[in-house]
Amino acid sequence: MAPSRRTFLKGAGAAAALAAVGSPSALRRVLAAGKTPVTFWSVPFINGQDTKVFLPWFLKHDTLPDAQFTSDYGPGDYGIQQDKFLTQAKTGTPDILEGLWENMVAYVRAGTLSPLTSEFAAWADHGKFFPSTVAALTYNGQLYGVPYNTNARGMLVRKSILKHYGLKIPTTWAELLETASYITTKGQTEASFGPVLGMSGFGLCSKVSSVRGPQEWISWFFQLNHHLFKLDPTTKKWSLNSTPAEITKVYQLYHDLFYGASGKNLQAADPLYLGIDYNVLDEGYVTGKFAMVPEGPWMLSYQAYGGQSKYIIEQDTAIVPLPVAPGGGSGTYLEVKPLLLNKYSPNQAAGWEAIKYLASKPILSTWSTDSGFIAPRTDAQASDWWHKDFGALVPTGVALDPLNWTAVFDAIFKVLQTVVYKQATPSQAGTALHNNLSQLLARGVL
Amino acid sequence: MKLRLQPGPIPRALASVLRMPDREWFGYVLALPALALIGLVVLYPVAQGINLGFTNAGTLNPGQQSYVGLQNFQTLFADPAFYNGFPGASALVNSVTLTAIAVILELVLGTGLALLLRNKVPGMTFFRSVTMASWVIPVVATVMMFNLMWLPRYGLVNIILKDIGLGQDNAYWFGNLNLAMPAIIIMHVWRNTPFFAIALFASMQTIPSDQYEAAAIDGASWLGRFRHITLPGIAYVAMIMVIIHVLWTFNNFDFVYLSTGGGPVNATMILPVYVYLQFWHNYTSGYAAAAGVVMLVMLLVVTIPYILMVKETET
Amino acid sequence: MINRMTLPKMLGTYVLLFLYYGFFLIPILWLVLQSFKTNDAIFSGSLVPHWNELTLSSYQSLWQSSSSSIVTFLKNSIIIALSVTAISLVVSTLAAYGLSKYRIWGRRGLLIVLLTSQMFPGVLILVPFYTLILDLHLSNTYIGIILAHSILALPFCVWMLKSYMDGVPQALIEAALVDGCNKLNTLMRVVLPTALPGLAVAAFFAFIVSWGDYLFVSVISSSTSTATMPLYIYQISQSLISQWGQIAAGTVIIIIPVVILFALVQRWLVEGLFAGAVKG
Repeated sequence: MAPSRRTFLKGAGAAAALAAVGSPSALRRVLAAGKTPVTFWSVPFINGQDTKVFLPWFLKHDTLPDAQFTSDYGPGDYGIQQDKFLTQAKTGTPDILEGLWENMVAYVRAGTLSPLTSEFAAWADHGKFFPSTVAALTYNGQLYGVPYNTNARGMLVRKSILKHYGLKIPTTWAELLETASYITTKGQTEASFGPVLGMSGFGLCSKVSSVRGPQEWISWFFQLNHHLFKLDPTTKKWSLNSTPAEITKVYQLYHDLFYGASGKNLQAADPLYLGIDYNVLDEGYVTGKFAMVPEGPWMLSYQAYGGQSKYIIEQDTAIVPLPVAPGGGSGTYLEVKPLLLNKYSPNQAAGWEAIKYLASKPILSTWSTDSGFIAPRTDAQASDWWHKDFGALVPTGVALDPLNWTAVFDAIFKVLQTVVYKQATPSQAGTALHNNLSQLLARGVL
Repeated sequence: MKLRLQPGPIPRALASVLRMPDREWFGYVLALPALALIGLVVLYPVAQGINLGFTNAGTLNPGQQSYVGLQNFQTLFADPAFYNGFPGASALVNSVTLTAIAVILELVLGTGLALLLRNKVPGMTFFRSVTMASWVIPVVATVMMFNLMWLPRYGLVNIILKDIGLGQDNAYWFGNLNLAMPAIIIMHVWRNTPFFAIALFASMQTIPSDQYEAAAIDGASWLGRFRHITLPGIAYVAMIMVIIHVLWTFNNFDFVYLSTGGGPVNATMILPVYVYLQFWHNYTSGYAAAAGVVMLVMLLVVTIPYILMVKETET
Repeated sequence: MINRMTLPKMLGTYVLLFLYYGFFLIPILWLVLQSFKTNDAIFSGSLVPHWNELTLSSYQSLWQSSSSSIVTFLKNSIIIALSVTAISLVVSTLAAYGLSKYRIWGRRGLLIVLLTSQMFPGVLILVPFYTLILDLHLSNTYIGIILAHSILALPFCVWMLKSYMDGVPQALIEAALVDGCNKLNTLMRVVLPTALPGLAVAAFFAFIVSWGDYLFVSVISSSTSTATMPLYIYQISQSLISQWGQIAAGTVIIIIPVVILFALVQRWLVEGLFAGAVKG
């Protein structure tokens, strides 16, 4: 054999061997043991939220009789997970996954989920789930997911900071602007608590591709109007249920938070933190950069990081409803996260068993207690103060209208950027968003 | 009407191929793996991509695609985020601006550094050897590095600003409307200037030194020597470097996506990121491919002189 | 070039050198410094840390994470990059030799095809390429990623190796042929040893292209079993519990192998990389 061909074949052989090594070793083990492997994509398992506390426990208690979870938990980011699932669902992997409610709608429209209506009705536990969460996962009359995680957004407040400055916890937008801007102003000259100079009174997400940011936006909006869209019962067509003026109010709040209400040069949210996303916001709260933040119960997992983070979460945080708009009522974003079954998975039965297992009382109790979220089962409620206070917000939570909210959130946030970067006034923004959404409705994108 | 006595191009090509001696034929075999890979993995997807650009394919409506002619292109040029938006807020303009400014800066700074590297001072070998360090570093690492430079309050640039009294000018560069694009340009320049410098330095070494001696005897100034001897000597290499970097910068996705995602408010939106987001955010594959076709056409305009230049040197 | 070193000229040179190399090296040095600081020290916003603010804890925490330890990503990156280097070297050496030493018809055209394949926007190829990968069942496998990376590296490697081989004196080859070698043996015995610097640089280029790629890996890989270091870095910078000390430490780790390789190869870099550019 000529030397070059030999080397080439050697190289090809080596590459093939390495490729074989790369296939999940767990898969081989599982096939040997005779159980059906079930691949479960779970973002919290990868992105750090659950890995310190819940995941090790979960791995030891994997007690399904005929199925076994593989070690592939997916890409660990909701945006990436949605992209990947939409394009590769046909390959059958993953078998089941969890996600955001907005993800579920996209998956349903792309035809990648199995309906679970009859299976759920046949399950003995189905009556234990909060009806509002089950209703939220019903789309076009069919149930597509089992709710495992719910929360309503509230506000976390550093009690000691407010006490230090003699401030009351704000309950209206005007109070929020005053209280937060007082703290921000003081923070520019005083190192208030901890090693950080420059605490900002309030913080929120404004990065262009943020997932959390639009959820914060809609929380404020729900105080003014519980429905951004309405469905005509006869024509079955969706239309906008809000006015530009109403939308403008929310954009006005963002503008005032960063640049102060007219006449007063207050900065409730430090513009230095324009363009941040949830990782900077969450970490910022537990490291003393923000005094008040709109958040949800996942923040409990920061106590596992010890030191200042643990102190802030366990001892120095008050959980309160978001301050209310003038003329507005109670209302906040109700998040429901589902467990979903891939229509193209070859293991439909094993996948459903795995979903029931993940949503069972013992698993959800431990999971929600350790990670902080509210389990949507009446028999799995934790009784510590964290869960109680966040649980109290759930009745005020408003679910999203069943539309393609990925595109809506995108539109909302693109317009928000023009406001916070001062390229448009809030009223121009209100009109712009109203027009954008009408066009999207007309084009059938939603 | 002239009778066609000459065979057409295809029969002529076949004849040339068949006339090649056996042992020369083996060249095809050797080149086959590379060409097959590129044909399968690049040319075929490109052809498919161009085809997609004329359809209305989308991930959320699978199996329902149909040809829509030039409609995608019409929508593209009407989208202010793609073309004709606010100054500094449309992908096409931003891409051209970024590429032009970055490559010009790299050329100028690279030439300056190349000139510097010729000076024989102690320690010059050390400097020459570390020059390319920034080019070998993965782009994702470069983005994180510069993030640490520009984070508000504890990035190096902001710390220095605060220490010299300009604390109020503290800004998160990646989140700031006016500083985000300069930040991207700085990263490109940081990464690529050494490549220019080393290439131009190498080509300067091939300029015969007696040309300089003759010019000095004739009383030419430093600037004169530079203009009439150095510049023509490095012109060819400089052209190649410029074209390679125009291609790389124009097509580069990682720097912008990993740092700003195209924001804030599309200030750093460039064509590759625009195409990517249309595929993976809006799920409109046909529309995204159309934007990709526009990119391809723009690049062809730049690449054709490059090809002609290569053709010349092959003879 | 008349280069008399006068004192002012030397001083001027050093000033400019420190400006240039300060710009190039300070971000790297700052990164390394941050990776050794405690998180409190990073947030304190001071330039120089105290001794008690230095720690190895950022590096330790990267190893200890239960579901995404850096070890998996390092392993994947290394295996993939080495495979890409091997395949690219073999395929591009053959192709370069074929295009350089064999008088095949259409040689110029093939070379142009090779070069222009570098021009195609990665994002345009991305979705059809990904569909191809799905159809071949190569999604989330090493082979799919290795394939993509090899394509990224091939054109430049072939072009450079071909220019290098063009420079091998014809006399050497004639001598070998006279001695009874066929054309292929000539490759092994004469051309390759002479073109060794070019091979080293081509291998180096293929390695760093594979090591640093984000776009293609992000699309082909969908789980930690095939994810590489760039995905890891991006992931920890976006994760819910991100700490800048860890991000800095991870970034330092991704840089170290390429810097070491660079140090080994750099004396050939000027010669090997730009044989192509200078000779055309």
